Amino acid sequence: MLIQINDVVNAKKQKSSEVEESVAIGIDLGTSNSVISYFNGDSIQIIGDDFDELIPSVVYYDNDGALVGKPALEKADSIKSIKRLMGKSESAIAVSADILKYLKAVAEKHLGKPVDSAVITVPAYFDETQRIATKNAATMAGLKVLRLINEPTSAALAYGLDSEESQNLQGIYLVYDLGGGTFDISILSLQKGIFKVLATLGDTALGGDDIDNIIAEEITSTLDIPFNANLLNIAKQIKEELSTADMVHKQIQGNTFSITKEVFEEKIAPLVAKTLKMCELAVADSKANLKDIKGIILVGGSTKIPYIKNGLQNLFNMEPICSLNPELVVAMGAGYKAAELTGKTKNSLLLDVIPLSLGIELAGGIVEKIIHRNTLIPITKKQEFTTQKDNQTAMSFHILQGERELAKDLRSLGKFSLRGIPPMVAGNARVMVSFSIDADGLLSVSAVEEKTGISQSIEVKPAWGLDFSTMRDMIEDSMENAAEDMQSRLLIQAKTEAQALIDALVVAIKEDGELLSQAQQQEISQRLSKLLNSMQGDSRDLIEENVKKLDAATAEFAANRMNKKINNALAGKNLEDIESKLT
Amino acid sequence: MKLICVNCSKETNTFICSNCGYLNPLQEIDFFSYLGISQNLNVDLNELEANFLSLMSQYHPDNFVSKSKAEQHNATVHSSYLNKAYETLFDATKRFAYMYFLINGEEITEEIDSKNGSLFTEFLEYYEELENIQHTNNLKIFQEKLHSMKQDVLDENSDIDFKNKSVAYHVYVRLKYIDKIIESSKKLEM
Repeated sequence: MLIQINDVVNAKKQKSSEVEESVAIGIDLGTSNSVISYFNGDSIQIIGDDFDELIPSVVYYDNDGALVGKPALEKADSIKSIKRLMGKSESAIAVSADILKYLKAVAEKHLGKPVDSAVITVPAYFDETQRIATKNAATMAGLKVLRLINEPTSAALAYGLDSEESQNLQGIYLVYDLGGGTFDISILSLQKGIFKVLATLGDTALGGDDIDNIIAEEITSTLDIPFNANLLNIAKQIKEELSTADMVHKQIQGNTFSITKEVFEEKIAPLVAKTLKMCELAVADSKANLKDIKGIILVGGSTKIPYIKNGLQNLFNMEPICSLNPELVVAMGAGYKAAELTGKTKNSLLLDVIPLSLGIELAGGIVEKIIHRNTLIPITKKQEFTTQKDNQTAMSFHILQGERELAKDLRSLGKFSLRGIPPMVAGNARVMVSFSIDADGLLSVSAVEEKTGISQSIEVKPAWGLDFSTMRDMIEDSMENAAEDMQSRLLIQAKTEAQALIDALVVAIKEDGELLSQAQQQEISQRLSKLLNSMQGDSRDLIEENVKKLDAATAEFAANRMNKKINNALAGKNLEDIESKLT
Repeated sequence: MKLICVNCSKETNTFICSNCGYLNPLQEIDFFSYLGISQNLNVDLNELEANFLSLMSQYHPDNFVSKSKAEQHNATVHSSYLNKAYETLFDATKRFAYMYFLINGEEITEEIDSKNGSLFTEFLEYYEELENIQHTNNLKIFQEKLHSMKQDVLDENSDIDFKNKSVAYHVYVRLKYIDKIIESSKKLEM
C-alpha cells in the first residue's frame, strides 16, 4: 500500500511540473497553409517546420500513416483544402486532426517543451457545425482549445497590439480576408485596447483557390487540353508571377500558354467585384459609412494581387494596410491571445459577434429567428412557444442557422423533442426555449415547460477523449437528430448488452452444460428465443425486460457453476494453505 | 446593491467581490442598474458604451480561463446578460419596451394594430418614398432620416407616463412602424 501512495505523489508532482512547463501556441489552421505562432514573453515568433513558415494544410496517407505539409503536397493524391469540407464531411475532422498533430509536434520540437493548448482561428463566417468540427479535430490531436477566435479579429489583434502605444489608432477598421478557400469581412472598432466587432460577412466557398481555377480553365480552353490537377499548381504560379510581371509564358504539355495581366484581371474581375460589393454590405450592416472606415487590413495570400488592392483603394479612397505579412498576421494574433489567456501577457478584450442568425422552425416551414446575426457574444436569448393542438404532450424543435426565411434553405443544426407535457388546451402550455452562445461561438439549446418544469436540452459540446468513430457518431447524432438518435443509440446499447449476455451463456453451457436440469434447460431456451425475437425489433423496453428474465432464469445455473469452480480450485489443497490465503 | 460574497462570505457592493475578487453569480437586477446608468427614456449612448466596455473588461470569460468552473460559468452568465442589457438599452424601441416592462410588470404587446388608420396613412408615404429610391446614397440619407425620427419620438415623449398604457402603446406603435420601414430599407440593400 505504501508503494502505491508514493506512486500517486510522484505522479502528481510530475503532472504539476508538466503543467508549468507546457506552453500554449496560436494556430492559423488555413485552407491552403497553416501557421504556428508563439509569444516568447517579448514578441511574437512564427514557428516553421523544416521547409517553411507556411505549412501546407495537406495530408497524404499511406501504409505508414499520415504525411503532412510540403512532402505531402508533392504526392499526387494528397488531400488538400480540407477546411472547405469542415462540418460537411466526417473525415474532414480526422484529416484536420492529423494536420494539427503535426503542427503540435513541430512546435514541441522547436520549443523543446510539451504543447498542450492552443488558440485556433476559424473563418468568421464558419457556422456552428464547422466550429464544433474544428474544436473536435483539436481535441483528437491532443490540444486543449483555449479559445476559437475569428480570423479577421485575430489579424486586427496582431495589428492593434503591434502599435499599442499609439492612441491615434482608435477607430473603425475593415478586415478584408481572402484566404485559400474562404472569404471573410469584419468591421471592427478599436478603442482603448478593446476590439469590438460591429459586423461580419463572408462566404465559406470563395477564395484564392477559385482564382487558380479561373486560370486553369483559361489554360484548358486556350490550349484545348483536358483538365488535370497539376494545372492548378501551374495556375497558382501564374497568379503569383502576375503580381509583379505584366505577362507570363508557361510551357504546358509541349504548348506555350501566355497570359497578360489585363486578361487575368478581366477574368477575375467578377470575383473581385463580388467581394467589394460584400464590403459595402458589411459596412452598411455595421451602421457605419464608407468614410468612417479608418483603415483596411489585408489578410490572406490572395490580397497580394495588385488588382484587389487597387479595387479596395478605389472603393475606400485609402491605401490598405499590409505592414504585417498577410499570410502570417492571423496566426500572430492567435499567438498573442494564447499568451494572454495563459497569463503570459496582459489581456486585451475581443468582443466578437455571431456571423449567422440562429432560429427555430415553425409550422409551415418558416423560421423564427431567436438570435440575429451580428449579435455580440456570449449571449443567451429566450423565446416562448406553445402547443398548437388540444392535449398535445410533445413538441419538437428544429434548430436552424442562416439568413433565409424558409427552413428548407437553412443549415439544420439538430432536432430535439420535449415530451411529457401534461394534456392542456391548445395554447396553454408555456414552453421557454433558450439559446446560449459561449465565448467560442458554440451553441447550446434548452426547452422548459414552465408549468411542470420538465426540460430537455441539446448541447453541442466537443467530445473529449473519444476515438474517431465514436466521435463521428456523436457529432452526427447531435447535429442531425439529437433526440431520436439518442433513442436509437440506447437501443443499440440494449442490443449489445443482450448479445453479450447470450455469448456468455453459450460459453457457460458449452463448459458446464451438465449442471443444468431438464427444467432449467427448457426455461432458458424459452427465454432465449424470446430475447432473440425481441432483438429483431426496435423496442428497447422489451429487450431489457427479456434480458432481465433470461438473467433470472440463469441465476441458479451461474451459482452452481461458481460452486463447481470453487470446489475444483480447492480440490487437493490442504486446509492450512487455504487459511493462510484467506487471512 | 449589497450582496454577500459566495466565496469569502464578506459583504460587497459589486459582483466582483471587493474583498477577494471573486465573480459572484448574477442576481436579479434591472438593465439600467446593471449598466450603472439612470433609468430614463433618453440615454447618453456614449455613457452607455463606456460603462458597457468597462464592465465587459471585468466580466469577459477570457479573464477566467484559469479560474474554477463555477467562476467561469458566472463569467459567461454575466457577459451574456451584459450583452443583452447593452443591446436592449442601445436601441430606442427596445429601451421603450423595457421601461414599460419595468414599470408595469408586463410585456408590451408586439402586434402592430392594422386598424390604426391614421398611423398607417402617415407611414404609407415613407413606404412610397422607399420604393422610389434608386441610389445607395439616397437610401443612406433615407435611413438617417428614419433614425432621427425615432429620436424625435423619444424627445417628444421624454416625460411619458408609462402607467397610462394606451398612451405608451401609441408611442410604441410609432417606434415599431419606423423600425419596420428601416427593416424594409435594409432588405433593399441586399
